[in-house]
Amino acid sequence: MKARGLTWALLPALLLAACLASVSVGPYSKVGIVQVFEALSGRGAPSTYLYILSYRLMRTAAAIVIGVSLASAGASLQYTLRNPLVDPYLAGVSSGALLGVTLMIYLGHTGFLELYVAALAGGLATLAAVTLISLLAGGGASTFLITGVAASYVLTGVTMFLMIGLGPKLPGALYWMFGSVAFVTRPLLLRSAAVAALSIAGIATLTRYINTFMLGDDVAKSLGVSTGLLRTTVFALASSATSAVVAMSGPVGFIGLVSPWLARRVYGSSFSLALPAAAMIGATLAVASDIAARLILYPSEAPLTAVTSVFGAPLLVYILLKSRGESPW
Amino acid sequence: MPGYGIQALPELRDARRSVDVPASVLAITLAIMVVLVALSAYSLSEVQSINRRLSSLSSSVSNINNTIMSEVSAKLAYESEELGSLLSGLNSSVSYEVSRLNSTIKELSVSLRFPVEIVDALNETVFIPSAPTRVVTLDPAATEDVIAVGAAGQLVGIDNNSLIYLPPPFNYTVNKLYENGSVKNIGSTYTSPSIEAILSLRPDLVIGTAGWGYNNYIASVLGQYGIPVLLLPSYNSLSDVYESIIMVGEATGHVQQAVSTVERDSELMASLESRLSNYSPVSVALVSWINPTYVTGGGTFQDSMISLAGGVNVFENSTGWPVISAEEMLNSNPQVIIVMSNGGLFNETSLIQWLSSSIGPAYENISAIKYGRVYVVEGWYESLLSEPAVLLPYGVELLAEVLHPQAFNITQPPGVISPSTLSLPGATS
Amino acid sequence: MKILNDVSFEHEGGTLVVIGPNGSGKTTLLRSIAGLTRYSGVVEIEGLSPARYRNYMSYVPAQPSLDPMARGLDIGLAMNYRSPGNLWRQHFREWLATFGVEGLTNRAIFTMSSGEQRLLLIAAALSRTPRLLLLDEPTAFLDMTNQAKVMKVLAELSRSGVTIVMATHDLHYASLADNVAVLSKGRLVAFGSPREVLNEGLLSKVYSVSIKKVNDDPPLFLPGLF
Repeated sequence: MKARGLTWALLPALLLAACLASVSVGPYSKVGIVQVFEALSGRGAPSTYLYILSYRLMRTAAAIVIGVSLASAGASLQYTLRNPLVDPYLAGVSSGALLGVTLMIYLGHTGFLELYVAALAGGLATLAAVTLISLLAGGGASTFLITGVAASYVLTGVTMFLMIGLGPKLPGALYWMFGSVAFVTRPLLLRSAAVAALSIAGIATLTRYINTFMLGDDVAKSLGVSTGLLRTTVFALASSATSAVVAMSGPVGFIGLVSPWLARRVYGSSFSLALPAAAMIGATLAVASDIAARLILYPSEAPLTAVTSVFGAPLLVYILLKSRGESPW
Repeated sequence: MPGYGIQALPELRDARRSVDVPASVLAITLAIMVVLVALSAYSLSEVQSINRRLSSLSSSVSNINNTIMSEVSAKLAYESEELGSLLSGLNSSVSYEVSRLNSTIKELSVSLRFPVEIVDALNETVFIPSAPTRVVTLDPAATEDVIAVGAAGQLVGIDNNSLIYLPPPFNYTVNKLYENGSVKNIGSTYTSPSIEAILSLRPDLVIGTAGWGYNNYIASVLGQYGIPVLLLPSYNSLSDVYESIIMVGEATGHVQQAVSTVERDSELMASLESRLSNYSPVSVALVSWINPTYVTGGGTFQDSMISLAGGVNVFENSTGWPVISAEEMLNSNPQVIIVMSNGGLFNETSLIQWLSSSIGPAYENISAIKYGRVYVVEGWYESLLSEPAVLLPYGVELLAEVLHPQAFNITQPPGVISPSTLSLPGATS
Repeated sequence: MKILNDVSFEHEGGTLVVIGPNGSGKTTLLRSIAGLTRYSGVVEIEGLSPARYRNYMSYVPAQPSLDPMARGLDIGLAMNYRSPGNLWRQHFREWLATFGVEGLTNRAIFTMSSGEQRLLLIAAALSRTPRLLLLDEPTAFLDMTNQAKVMKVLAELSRSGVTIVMATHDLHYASLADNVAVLSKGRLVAFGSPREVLNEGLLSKVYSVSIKKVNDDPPLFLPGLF
């Protein structure tokens, strides 16, 4: 119990610290933490600093949106399907988004807004297809997983065919494989944040019902919870939040997988406690990863997914080792 | 009996609802998210409103400029008439003053040309309020254009590839500027661009090739900050090259030099055309990698270069850069095979090894092999044929010399084509 | 696949014990009453269909699949997801105290024995204060002490007016019921008070093994192995 109370105070503090660090760090070293406070205190700053600060603020905001969305989506899926290996991309939305984008580039449309729409459309179309097929095949938890995995493979394969013919336009498509917050513009951020916030709010309203999954399908159904419908709804909401994030900044891996794990270590199986904790952990991880991405290959940038994977994997292993002897899931 | 009380039928309802701590925490997290998004959006609005004020100021300036322009040219016309009559008898100091006046007039006319509006390759209207003094280029082709129109002095930032891959004479210029610190490296826009590095240079014009690497994304992010970004058409044909040069000339205030560059290039192309008019086309295969073997197909700029150089691409029916087998090479039977050495990786032997390992001694029946017309391209001539950009006409000239040596009074082009073995009469030194 | 055929009965108040060999359809009968499986025919509880009676009944399956990392209190919370307020919490703790396992609220499922899990689930089911309690093999996994505790509680509940439907293998609980239903191969072969229904002949036929009545009051039946 003590760990829980401490964590509620610690998590927001960590998040705020990460945000502050994020705005103070970057290749243009003249803008550091001192300048941030100068700007905040209204004393004014040279306009160059303002540009840089504004840019970093945009990145931080995007990172938080990514972290909150992916962690919430991941948590809701893991608790609904009671499976620790599940991450927000299980519906194949990132492969769908990548295919949509590659197709657009192949056909010659390279404007950023067009690609955003293509990514969003690709992701949501994949989600719809996977949901439909899973429902037709019975609608059980494992059906969703298998269909999603199959969809991922198929779409990635088709994408690879297309990528061969892209030539020098290839890096543009690769952006949607690597993930980055470097190019987020305000209209995209607002759109994605809106979609993600709505989806997560939707999931939040279902918290009480998602909690009943821990009782097992039988007991949950006897309480009046339509488990099949609930599973499908969570699946759809989580994947649309993920789609919004992927469309904005490409697939960022691992955060959606590891944040629920961390939340679960402290809060156990109560989804109503784990969801907000996972969201905050996800946001902090995302912001920290973006900071690392900017620093590691200074002054160049590392792809965000690379950073999250390289740092996330040892974290996961550490959790596994620490919970040796306790139940797996 | 907990809960059942006196009667077994529970009708108990507790209207009091406990405050859900976790729900409020989620609300706080979402609120933080919303606040941050709103904050960044607001800061951006601030920047954009400043930019709007700047651009309305610029349009007032342009009105004033137009007025000045008409008045000054009227005045100048009058003054030069007067001076013209005095010039003949006066000593050199006066003519010196006159020529100084002329160059000032030229500078003035350059800045009076602004603001300009250019429609770039993505059909965006780029508004440049005044002659740019802080230009950043995003890729080697754009850098070449800027140098070619004489705007190198306005450069403050170039990308990493421009620092490494430019052919002469551009690389001399670039290295000089980089060494004396007037130009900074902003990183590679092909792999990992840094927006911050670009922003920190406070550019007033950014130029890049549309669709190359991350350029389109960079354009959209910088556009938020009101920095004009000019995206040039990808260099697929001669008209693209000319268009880019003119665009860059307009954007940097060097229209005259841009125009003269384009004129010089078109003259070269015209003379090539007349030189080759009496010769029938030669069939060519242009190989860019061996095993897997990539060749140039139809619809590429290299394909159009081949046609302009008096050749016919044997693989023009496949689009892009297809992978071919040794059999296909045998079937298409080109008269000339040109191999890009890729920095010395490939030569004639590698080609023959690949062919013979697939189709055995049958390769000797390929026309190019039989008549000894296999050429390997090395040195910066490689980028001349693969990323010609501004130098596209010279790439055509190179190909023409290889395909129709007689037209250039060359008896036999060397097996290894490099700047030291074959010269380009039309190119600048 | 039809599991039950031609099953029809009426039961009013008190305890109904359903007995029968494995595969005779006991679980399916309970699930039908709980509204978990499709059935043709009519199931009415106090005039309402199972779907509408949800709030007034609790179902405890034979093999629940509880989340191993869940804490005891979370299980109670999940069971009572519909109730506002915290009243259920007090009832839940009191039921656990009655079974003597108050400490389960803070332990994770995976640390509990199957018996403890069963007690937890029953306590959670009761914290909803249902009018109908459906129990599938409630005494499985329980040692004699706990069996006695649970049965005592059920008896008291039954006297207070709660209807209990219980499927079990233990024939001696059948003797204590108000009504007994005997299922065999999906058919209802007998329904009525224990006195009417329980006799050696019927039981031996249904269970395909020789059953002897070894005591009269209370009636006790055992397989004739000896």
